[in-house]
Amino acid sequence: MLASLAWKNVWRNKKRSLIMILAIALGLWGSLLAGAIWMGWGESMVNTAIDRDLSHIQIHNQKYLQNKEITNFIPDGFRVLKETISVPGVKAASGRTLIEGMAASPISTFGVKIVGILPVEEKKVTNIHTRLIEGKYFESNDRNPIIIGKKLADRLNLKLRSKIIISFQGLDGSLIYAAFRIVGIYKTESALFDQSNVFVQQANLFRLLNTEPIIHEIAIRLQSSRLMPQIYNEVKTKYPNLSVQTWKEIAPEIAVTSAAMESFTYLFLSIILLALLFGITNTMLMSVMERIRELGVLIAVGMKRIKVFTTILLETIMLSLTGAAGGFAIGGITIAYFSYTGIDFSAFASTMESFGASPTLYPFLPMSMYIALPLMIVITASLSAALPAWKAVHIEPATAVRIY
Amino acid sequence: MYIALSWRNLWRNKRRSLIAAASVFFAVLLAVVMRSVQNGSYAYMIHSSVKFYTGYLQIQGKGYWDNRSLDQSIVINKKQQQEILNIPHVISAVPRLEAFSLVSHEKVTKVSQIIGIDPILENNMTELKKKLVKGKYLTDSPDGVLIGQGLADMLKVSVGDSVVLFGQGYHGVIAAARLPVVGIVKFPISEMNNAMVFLSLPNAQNIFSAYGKITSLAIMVDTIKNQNKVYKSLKAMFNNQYTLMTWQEMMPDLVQGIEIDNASGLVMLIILYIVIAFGIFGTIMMMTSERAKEFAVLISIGMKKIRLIWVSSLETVFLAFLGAFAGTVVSLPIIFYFHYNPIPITGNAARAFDTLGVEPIFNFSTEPSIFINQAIVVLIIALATALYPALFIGKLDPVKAIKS
Repeated sequence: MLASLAWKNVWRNKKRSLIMILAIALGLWGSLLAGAIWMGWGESMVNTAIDRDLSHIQIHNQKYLQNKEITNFIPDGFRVLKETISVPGVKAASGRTLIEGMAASPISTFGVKIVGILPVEEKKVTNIHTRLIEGKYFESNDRNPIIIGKKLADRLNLKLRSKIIISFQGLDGSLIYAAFRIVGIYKTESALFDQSNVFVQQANLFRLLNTEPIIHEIAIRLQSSRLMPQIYNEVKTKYPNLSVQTWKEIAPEIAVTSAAMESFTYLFLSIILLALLFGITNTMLMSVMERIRELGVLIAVGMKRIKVFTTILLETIMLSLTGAAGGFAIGGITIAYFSYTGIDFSAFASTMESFGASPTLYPFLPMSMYIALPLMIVITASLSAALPAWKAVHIEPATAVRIY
Repeated sequence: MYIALSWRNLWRNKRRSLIAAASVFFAVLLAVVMRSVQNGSYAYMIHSSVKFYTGYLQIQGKGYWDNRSLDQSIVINKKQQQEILNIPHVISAVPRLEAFSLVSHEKVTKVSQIIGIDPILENNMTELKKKLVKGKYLTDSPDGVLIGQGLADMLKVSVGDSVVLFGQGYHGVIAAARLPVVGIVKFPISEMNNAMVFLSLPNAQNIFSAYGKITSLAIMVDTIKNQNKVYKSLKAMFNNQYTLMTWQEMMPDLVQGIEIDNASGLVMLIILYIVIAFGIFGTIMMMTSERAKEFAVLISIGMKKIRLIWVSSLETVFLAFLGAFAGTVVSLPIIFYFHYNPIPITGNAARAFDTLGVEPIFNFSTEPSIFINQAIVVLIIALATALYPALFIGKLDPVKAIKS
């Protein structure tokens, strides 16, 4: 009964209610879309980092984390690699031989991380092979093929098929020099990554190092990121002497930034709701003042004050929820549309890349936000109803009826 | 006359006017604080980033920036350096010779960035001495090195040990030297901490066979506003003989990072102001329609419509300015307090800042334009809103209004 009364009251002054509803709808629409873009950005940062080199879980020798020395390889690494691939839920795993060294051309020298891989395995874990802008992914018969990033190629002034001199420290501490032939040049979202990572085939490294096969890193790609905690625990208990890390531990700044995007969205929504709170209070206050005589009569004929209070509260909540529903509807449609087409931020491409996100973003909102938001709106509405409802409850029927 | 009348009209319904003014107050307060922290952080970020290493401007050999080759090193003699310092607004000019090289200690070899510096000039600009955690700072004569803490840990060297440098010098000459570690420096940015080795400039010039040469001259300007003036003077002085780089060219990520942050801040403000505009509009609309009878009476007894429009428009402007003024006044102590006591960012978020090369601090700007801009925006909103009463009065039919 009270509810239908309240609903009718909302529409007594259509223009006024519509303005407030429009304000709420537009405010929510704007903040939802902005929030969805931030969330999409965070997601893109995470995904590009996982696809580029992090993968989901990595295994190292514990000593390697403190000191990236070539001797800190994973003991019996290939057995560990084989065992991890057979863990259910693991899509693929790649063993990497990592060496810090120098890349030199006739004109300059840069420090690089030399990543020794088995191309067939690495292809299943990361997507560098799809990022080649020149050349092929280890398909030629060169003696020492190497794939380098565009940034490094520019800095060293090297082209496809150029020779590059790689130097690094061997297992016994001696310096090893080797000429490699550039068979591919890749470009990812991260210039820093492109400048500092070069890929070679493991067999070539083992020959140069004159060693049995060794690996320093096992990168594990899972069938779904949802399986991460469970498989992480499984692998961790299986190899207590090795360091097992998820991408969140390896790159905490990415995890933090992407999580910060969600907090940021909530913060922004709260600010907008706070601004709306003033508008709603004002609208309801005027609505109460306008009806002061009518409310006085209602109280005089015996309507319980608590019921008057509830009516005003319900009116406010209905007004707000109507606006919110509008905001949700247009917001949801816009987000759904853009999450399908993507939003092109190429104008900011180089920043997006320096943050490690792709220039096309796919906005989305997590399900939890669609549940939390109506709650936040009901709270806002209740808060803004407080003053008008208090005012309505404290009407002196005698004065109200006589004066107004 | 108009002013007094409209001012009194505002106070006829105190509570409503106050609530409307409060929503403006809140918007202005929030907008001012937000813009202040954004702009303040940008200025601080730029200044601390350029002071950290690059300087506002750098003079380099042509093509040096892209390939970092010692072959592009240049000669800028003492007299020219003095001439640069004589340019107004130039605070310091710091010569450096930079090269990549392998650094080893016992069995460990790492790739490092070797930087030959003038110890006194360098300290004046970057305060390198403050970053010393062990040992002594470089002096002009002896041949020791300062080494980044991370690198020192990896090489397992301490003050008093020797490291061996091995790399490529000017025109491909082999550069090798054995040098004692005299001090260990700590940088907040791990890329620097793990890679940097400093030695005195003459020493570096000898080792890399780049006698009398430098790779760059970093120039600090007093404030960013004078950067362009100095740029022009330098351009005239060297007449295209060398490349002149600005920090914007050397740190494009910082520039775009600022742009994108600024853009998302503006989007937030726009949404916020839309919500506020609706709030003001709703209030003004109700205030106007409530007084239809009063307006009608005034018009019937001979009041010109244009005068009424004046009065009601002034009311709106007053309302907006009341809120804007209060918002500004309240924001002043907040901003000035935090301007002198910047908020340090802690925890995981600090790491994200570190990757950008900026010390994690929230700084507040007291630039007057921040306050003025918000006042202008509020005035525009108020004027746009004032159109409603103007139209309403223009269309008002006194006979109908009095009867209803």
